[in-house]
Amino acid sequence: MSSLRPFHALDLFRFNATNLDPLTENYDISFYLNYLARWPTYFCAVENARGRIMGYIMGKSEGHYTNWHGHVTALTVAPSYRRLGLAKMMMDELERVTDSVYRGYFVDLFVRVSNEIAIGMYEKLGYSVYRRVVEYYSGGAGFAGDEDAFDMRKPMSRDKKKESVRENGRDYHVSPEEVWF
Amino acid sequence: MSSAPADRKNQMVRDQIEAGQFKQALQLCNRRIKKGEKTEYLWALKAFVLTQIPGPANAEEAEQLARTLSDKTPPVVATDVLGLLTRVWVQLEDTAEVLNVWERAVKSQPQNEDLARDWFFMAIRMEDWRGAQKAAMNLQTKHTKRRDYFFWAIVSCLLLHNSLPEGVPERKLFGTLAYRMIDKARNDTPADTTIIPARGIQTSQEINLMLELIPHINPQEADKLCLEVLNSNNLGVDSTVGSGDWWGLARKRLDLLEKTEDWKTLYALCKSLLPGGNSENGDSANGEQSKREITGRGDDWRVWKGFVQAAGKLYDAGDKSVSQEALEKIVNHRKIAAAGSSRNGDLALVKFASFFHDKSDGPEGTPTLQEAVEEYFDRICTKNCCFEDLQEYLEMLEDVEQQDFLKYVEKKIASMPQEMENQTIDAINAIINQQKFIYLTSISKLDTASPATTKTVTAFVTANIQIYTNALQLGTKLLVTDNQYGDDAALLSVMGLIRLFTLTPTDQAPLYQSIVILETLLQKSKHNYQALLLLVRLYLLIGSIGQAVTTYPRLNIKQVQNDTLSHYLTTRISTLLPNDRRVSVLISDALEIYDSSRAQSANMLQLGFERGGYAQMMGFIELSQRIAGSVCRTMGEIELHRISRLTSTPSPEHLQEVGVKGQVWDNRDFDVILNSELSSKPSFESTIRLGPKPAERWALSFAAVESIVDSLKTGTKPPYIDARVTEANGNGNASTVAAQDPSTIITLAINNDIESPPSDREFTSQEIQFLRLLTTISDLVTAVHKKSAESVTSLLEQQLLPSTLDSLPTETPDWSLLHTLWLTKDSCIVVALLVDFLRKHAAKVIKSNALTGLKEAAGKMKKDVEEKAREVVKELEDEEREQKLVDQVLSEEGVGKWLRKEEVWGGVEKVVERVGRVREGIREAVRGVSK
Ligand SMILES: CC(C)(COP(=O)(O)OP(=O)(O)OC[C@H]1O[C@@H](n2cnc3c(N)ncnc32)[C@H](O)[C@@H]1OP(=O)(O)O)[C@@H](O)C(=O)NCCC(=O)NCCS
Repeated sequence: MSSLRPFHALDLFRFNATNLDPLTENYDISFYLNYLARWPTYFCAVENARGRIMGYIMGKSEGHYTNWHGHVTALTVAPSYRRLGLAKMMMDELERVTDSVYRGYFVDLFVRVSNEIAIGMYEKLGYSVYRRVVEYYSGGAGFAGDEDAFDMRKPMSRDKKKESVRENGRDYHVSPEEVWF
Repeated sequence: MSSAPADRKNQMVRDQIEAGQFKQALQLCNRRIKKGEKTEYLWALKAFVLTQIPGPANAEEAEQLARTLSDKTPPVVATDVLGLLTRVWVQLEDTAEVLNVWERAVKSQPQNEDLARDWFFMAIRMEDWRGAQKAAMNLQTKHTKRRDYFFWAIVSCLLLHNSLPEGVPERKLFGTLAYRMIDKARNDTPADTTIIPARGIQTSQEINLMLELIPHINPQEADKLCLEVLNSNNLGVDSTVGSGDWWGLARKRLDLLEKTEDWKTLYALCKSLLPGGNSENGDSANGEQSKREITGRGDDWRVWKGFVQAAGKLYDAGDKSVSQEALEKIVNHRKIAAAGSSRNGDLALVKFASFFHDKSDGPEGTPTLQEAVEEYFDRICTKNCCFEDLQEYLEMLEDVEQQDFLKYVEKKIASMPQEMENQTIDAINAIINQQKFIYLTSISKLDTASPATTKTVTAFVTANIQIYTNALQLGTKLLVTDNQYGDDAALLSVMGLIRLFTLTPTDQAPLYQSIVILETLLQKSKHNYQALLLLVRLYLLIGSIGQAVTTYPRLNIKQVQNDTLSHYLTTRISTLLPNDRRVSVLISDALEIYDSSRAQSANMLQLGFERGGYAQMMGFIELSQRIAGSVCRTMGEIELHRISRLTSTPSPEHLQEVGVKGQVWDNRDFDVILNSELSSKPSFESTIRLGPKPAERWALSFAAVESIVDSLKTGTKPPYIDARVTEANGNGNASTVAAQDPSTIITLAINNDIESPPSDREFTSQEIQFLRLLTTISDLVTAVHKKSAESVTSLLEQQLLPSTLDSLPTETPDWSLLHTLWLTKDSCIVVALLVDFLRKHAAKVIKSNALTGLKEAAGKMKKDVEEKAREVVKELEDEEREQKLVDQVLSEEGVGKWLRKEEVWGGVEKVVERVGRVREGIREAVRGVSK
């Protein structure tokens, strides 16, 4: 069973089932609180019946004009709760907030090019690669060196002509400095 | 005002401050003042530096300088100077002056909005809620165009209210003020949101602020008032303003309805939220339904839970029709729900059935709990969470029903197709769930050692090893970051082995077998954190501390996790391996979180205000207080101090004063480790702890130890001696005992500990012995300072150190032996310090040969400890013993049969190597004591 709820500052004490996972980043405290202060409705956790955190999503809105969009900063589900549709459920919520609260044109996210599971999942959820960001990630736990990221996007209802996505995005290479909004 | 060279010079001073070189910083200031420079900033800087150098003369000079600046006419208005002055007055503990400085400045420039805002943020950053409240009130009355100032004023009234003690009239005053303001905002908000006045409520954060505020101000009626807000047209769940956080508010409403036991409304609301919502009532055309589809989160366990619970409660109250309707709704949902959709509806049926389990009635068509649980297993058995979902309900079943359920599971698994690879993976998952049920229903309750127990557990362990081994072939394509499909089976086998060990602790073979299993698992699933955490603990338990220290970094614990997880390694570590440099580095690194959190939380509070994240403020403040007051912080400091003592290295200077002032919090996470124990039994994690769980009482006592040691070293009279000692009130409360002398603190803690039930104890027996010694030493210190020769003499007649170590059991050396040896060594060191202290301060009272005798006894005991350690190392080097152990580990009767296999486990040689490495790890740790 699972229930979505707003993330709370004290959840930082209780999100170890997700944050011990090697693919989940651990940021400093202010990073999370900054998101909570600025985009509280973009920061949700899913908990089980005992109130344990099974996963969470953290996002923000940014950009100008037709680049105004929702961004997924972190999405993670603890290993024992995977393949239950929890990631999809949280992405649905983030898209809902982007579409109806912030009125963004699209949702985007960065993912390691080696993270095949996540890429496959995002594709299934309607995302496509917009561009490849060269050496976006620096080496970390269990990762040898720097790594490229895919910038993946999905248009929202406000982008009527689907201008925020393109075909063959995997062939567009950009440097990390070019992707700041 | 300040030119570039002055900037550079100021920077030089600040650099020195940053580096903790206050004397040098002071010299720099003085040199410039001598040369005739007399800027306000320089004076303020000097005053600040002075507050950082101990001594009454410095404080006095700082105060004089600060006073001159604070009373200046026209007043100081430069923010950087005001900032420094604030810090000076805070250091001098004169918050009234802080207020005075800023109020004068702001009054002298009423139109200066930046200055007024700086005041507010300065107060917020210093957590000076009174100053913040004044500053915010000033902002909102002077600068009326800015709506945010109005909300800042509300929040700071609330913060001030919360910081004041219960019962103080002022508290009520500020609470009421906050409430009045937000209530006005609420009334000013029209339901039609095209034009909301500036000081009306415009965001969902502001609604949430109101909901946060109400319970603080009016706890009696809070639920009712909050529900009123949530039901209102202008600010309620379905209002336009509320839509930004529709689901967050909707959840709050459900929580409140549950709390107020308004089952009728709760039921109706949940029903309307569930998928299909109102359509059954034929009102789907009114637009409500389509709105829900966009905003709705009907298929959420929060809603299902409320739905079933309300139906049950209404049934109890005699309204039987509702439960019939609820049952139909659940059944229908499960019929039409798409395959693979959330399992909430399925579990709702189980919960529903559980409600009638004891009553053996219920609406027609209600399945028995056993049937419902079986059906759930049918649907969800391939998911890892199946066990967790069902555990609570399984425990409600009678023994026979449980056995029937297990038979059902057996049959179901036998019928699962296994032709395709993914089918086999599904089957593995179902089988692992089955094993968890078996653990829960049969292994968890075994609590006496017997041949029958060993047989049952061994069968369980080997079955799981087999499952694990078979599953490995399926995982060849998995990514390095993934875990193998059968990992949980291996963990279950370890749980079984640990059960054998805890029942017969003298037989360590199961511990070694567990380590072999976990080490092997971690070669294949490099990042399995369950296995890593367990392995760290097992290395510690068995005494191979260095291996634990090597393995721990693989968990890659960072940031706030240092507060919640580092205890897995660092608890009591200074009594296990103080001589390994890596240990103190690890602890020091972990302790950094406390400094960085302090620095960050000020920024975060400011940001919260700037961004209007009002509803998060209380959470931010609580988070920062809980980190600042974390019991782990004190524990880490204690470990570092003891390490320095035991290794004769300088004690950590920046941690002079050990222990948290104020409330102590425990943020440790013990729940990450897998648990399949009955809920009436201790968690699995708690069975592999190194002694009782240290917490507040432990931290308080050992912080007191450090203060005693400090008074021995410095010889200065501790302040408690002149202060009146408060009566012990027996509850061990931090604030009441803080004023007491260390001896009383410790004695009280020991007494509390001994009287507590075993699960609440915090001290090992060795620690109690050590602490008792320290109370005597503390009493001696007191007696010396009070010049009470009689007490000194009689205290010295007590036996301070144990006379011999002969009775120490050494057959199976483990963490506990290390713990004893190091603590005894620490006792000897402290006694030696005592002798030095007495020589200096009580030479007249005590005969010098008595002191020499004591010092010799301490020296001899220290030698005995080292000799003991050498003996143990010798025993550990005995090859015959090691061979015997290997034989036990590889015994054909148990899991050894599997571990011998070449494939997966690497065969006999590999096991010999692994056991050998652990033995070497233990030897290494014990050798540490002998040096
Ligand atoms: C990626 C991740 C978030 C997916 O979470 P999840 O809750 O298991 O995903 P869902 O159950 O919602 O999966 C949705 C769909 O994604 C696909 N998918 C997810 N995990 C998959 C896997 N291991 N293999 C194949 N497909 C997978 C499936 O198509 C799935 O739908 P299905 O189960 O109906 O077939 C989770 O694996 C995770 O936390 N990984 C580590 C952190 C990470 O990589 N985050 C992404 C960084 S950008």
